[in-house]
Amino acid sequence: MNSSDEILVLGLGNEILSDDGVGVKIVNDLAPRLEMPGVDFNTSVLGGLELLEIISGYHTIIIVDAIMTGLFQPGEMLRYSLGNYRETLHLSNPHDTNFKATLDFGEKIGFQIPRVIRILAIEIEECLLFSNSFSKTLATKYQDILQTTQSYIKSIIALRQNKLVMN
Amino acid sequence: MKRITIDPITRLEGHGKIEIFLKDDGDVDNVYFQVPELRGFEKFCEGRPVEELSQIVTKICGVCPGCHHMASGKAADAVYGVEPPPTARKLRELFYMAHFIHSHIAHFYVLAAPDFVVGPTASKAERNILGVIEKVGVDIGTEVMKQRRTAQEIQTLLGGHQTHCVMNIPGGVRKGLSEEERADIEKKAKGFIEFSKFTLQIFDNIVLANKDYVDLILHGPYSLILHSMGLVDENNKVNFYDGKVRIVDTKGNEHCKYAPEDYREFVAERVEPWSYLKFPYLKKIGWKGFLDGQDSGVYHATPLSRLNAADGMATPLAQVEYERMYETLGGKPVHATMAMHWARLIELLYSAERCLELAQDPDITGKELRVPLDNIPTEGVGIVEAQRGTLTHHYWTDKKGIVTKVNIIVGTTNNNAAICMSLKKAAQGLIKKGEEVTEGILNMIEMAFRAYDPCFSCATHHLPGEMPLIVNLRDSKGEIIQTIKRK
Repeated sequence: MNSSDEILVLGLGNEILSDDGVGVKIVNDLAPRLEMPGVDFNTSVLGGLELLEIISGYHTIIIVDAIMTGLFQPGEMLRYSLGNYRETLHLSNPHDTNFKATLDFGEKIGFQIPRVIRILAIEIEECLLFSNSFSKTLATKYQDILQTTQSYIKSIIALRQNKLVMN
Repeated sequence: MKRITIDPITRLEGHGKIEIFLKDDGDVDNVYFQVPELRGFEKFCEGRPVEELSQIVTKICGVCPGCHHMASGKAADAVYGVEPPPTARKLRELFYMAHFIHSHIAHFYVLAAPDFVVGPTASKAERNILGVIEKVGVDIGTEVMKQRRTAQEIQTLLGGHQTHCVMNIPGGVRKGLSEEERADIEKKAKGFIEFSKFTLQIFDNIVLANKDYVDLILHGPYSLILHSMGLVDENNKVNFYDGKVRIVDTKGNEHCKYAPEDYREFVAERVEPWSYLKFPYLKKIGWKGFLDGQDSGVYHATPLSRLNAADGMATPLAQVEYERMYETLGGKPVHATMAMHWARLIELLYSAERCLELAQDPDITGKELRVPLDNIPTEGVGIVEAQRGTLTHHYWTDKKGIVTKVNIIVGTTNNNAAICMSLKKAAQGLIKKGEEVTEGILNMIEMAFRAYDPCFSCATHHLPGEMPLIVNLRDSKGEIIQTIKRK
């Protein structure tokens, strides 16, 4: 179990599958910039029940993951919570439970589920090619994406630290 | 001709779907299963030192990283022409048993049990692990998490990381086991055995005690007459880590038994224009199409095929269960797709028992962890049983051990043709002329797919979610007459 009064910024993705790993790179890049007491940074390539043990005990989690809707420009940041939830690439898992079922299951068996869940999904264009580089489109936009996600994550952290987010 | 599309909406819209073509009279004519393809892994590995590959391959997917790590480690041993010392070999196998325990528990409780415990035609809202614990008790959910976590702890201890393992190096392993750590694993292994027995009891109580389920397993639309592939030890007993690949025909007679380096003499791969994924088949029989039966070249590589291909289990309690399964289902080999679930639980018990055996083996805390690499590296093949089929890694290097070529046949790829055929048979048995295709029927078609525990993260790429579906029923002119959406 993790501390019950902390924030977790969690990057999901596979770093050797092109744009798929954008969430992991963002969190790795932001960790030194946003380092402060009460905020943990972590990355994972796992979904399903494994996530339960990673997120359990935190008050607030901010998940950064890739998404591929085909409806937005690559690099666009989409914001979700449980209220307008949409599955991102790694919050679903055909070999395990989906994210919502994971949360329900965890609550049922006594895990401490975060009270605030925010999901930042970055629209991507390539996730089937083994490469440790992003697609050209995403690579070009990466610094802007990083700035946007940094601002958003900072605002969530500030709200929590000022006890303004209570849902 | 009518056409039904079951579209799992993969990462790329329009890819990854099950297409069911109906005849004019409304019965099922044919079924095509299509998944998107991962590209460039072989290229990605070229130019890297062969000892790095066992760490790179764990990132192919998060479902079976340990399997790729083991196959890669064995292939690297073969590239250098060395055999790890007994302690290293047993440490690898111990890690691997924990990996199987973790994976098989997840498959049964998360993916298989909802169909049987909650019911194959129950609503999707109930047909999940929450529905399972509602029926069998919340405490079981806690125990599932505990046992999975315990298996992960062993993998982390031995592998260096639960997912991105770093234990294997050519000729051995990086790290040994202390007596204190060994004693802890021994204790945990005893817990695995009890939990495996308990899980088999649940299967008895819920599946085998239900005549309808037994009929579904034996006489439903879930039966395919296929050849069976599996790794066996020197006594032809099931082995996940080492041995020779044995294939028995549909009648249970040995078709061939080969060492890993000879795999290309026995298995070939067919390309179909409508699929990104290849279709392996038995080379000596040849490709005869998507047909089952003794004359077909199609085989399967699953928990059931492993039991069919072997003469038994190498541990006592699993052997008892092995005999009971074949006695109950009418003798060897079994061709009931749904029996894969039972076979998987017998493998769970075997893994737990083998975990205990290895934890009690005096060699396991030995100090000789690797052998020197005196040979010039060339080429090597490593084969292990992944949870979802026989996994082959084949590497070529230059004289400095730099990789020049890679070939991988993953467990699920072995079963590509079998999965297509199982889906077709299920669809033919369940979709009837003039009858509405309900969500329950769709799930029962998916059950044929799910029994294989396919991993397209490795074979191609993963399908997101719990198979969200769009089904379009089209009349003979191609017009949609019914649409079912499930998210």
